[in-house]
Amino acid sequence: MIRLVFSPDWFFNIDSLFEFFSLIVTVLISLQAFRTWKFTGEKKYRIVGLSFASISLSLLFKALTNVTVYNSQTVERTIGRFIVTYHTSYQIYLFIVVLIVLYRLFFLLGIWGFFNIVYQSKDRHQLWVTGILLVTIATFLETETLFMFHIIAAVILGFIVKYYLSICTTRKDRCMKKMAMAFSLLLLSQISYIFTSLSAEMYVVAEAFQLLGFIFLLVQYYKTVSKK
Amino acid sequence: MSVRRTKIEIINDMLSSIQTKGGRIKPTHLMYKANLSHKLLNTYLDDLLRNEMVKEVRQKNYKYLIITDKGHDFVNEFRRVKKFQESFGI
Repeated sequence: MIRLVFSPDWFFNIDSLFEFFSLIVTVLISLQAFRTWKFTGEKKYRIVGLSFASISLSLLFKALTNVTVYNSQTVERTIGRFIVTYHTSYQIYLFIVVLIVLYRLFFLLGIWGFFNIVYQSKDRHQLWVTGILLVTIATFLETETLFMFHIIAAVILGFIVKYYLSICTTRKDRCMKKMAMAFSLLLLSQISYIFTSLSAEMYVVAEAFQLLGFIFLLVQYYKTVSKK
Repeated sequence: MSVRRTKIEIINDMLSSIQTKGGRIKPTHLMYKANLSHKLLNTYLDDLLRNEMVKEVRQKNYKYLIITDKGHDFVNEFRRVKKFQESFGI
């Protein structure tokens, strides 16, 4: 059995709202990337679009997981703060597990795709093969190795942060500082998720970091569409 | 070292040059403003005329190129794409 609830009671469904906001941000970025691809014909923008679309899907699955878990749980809320869904029906349990797997799979594929683009690897074919292998392992081994998913996501995000920081130092670009900040916050959220087993409040911290990360990305997106 | 311009960058330079001249320019002026050879100007101009981004008019025995709405849209879209590239560092 996988532990399904990490959130404190008072935070139930608020996290789904956070997810929904982040989903809108990633959909907007994805659409802009596809628009750029259509205009320039450059394949890398299609990959950026697909990567953010993949993150959008993952956030949708996460929100669906939360809603399903919290609603199937209301009957058993007296059990305590860290409810394990032993009392929900097996079908619901399986459904939730599928949603969790889909969330992890699409999130890792999304950030892996973006990682590939920012590093502009020459040996892209090999990177994709190893990446997909890594994502598959991280997604399906989670039942055995707790938090493997968050560790791998943190590593990939760490490389993306490193890329933006390197541009900041060479070009002194303020835009890249904000991008570095956005991905640093997403990295911090993944690190915080690792410690949710120690304290339910860490889940709130992780969600807050994630929300802030996506707010920074929204600011960057706004610059694209603003008339200035 | 200067970087070679892509096709859409050259088209944008041509259309932006027309815009800065108030939407109307002589072909020779466009050639200098967009930093193109005569041969390249004709190649890209054919493209622009075919795609209805500019149109040719004759006034007092001079040939002028006028930017169309489609041309303005192209420049706006190009700016948006550039901003996206700069904002996301990709």
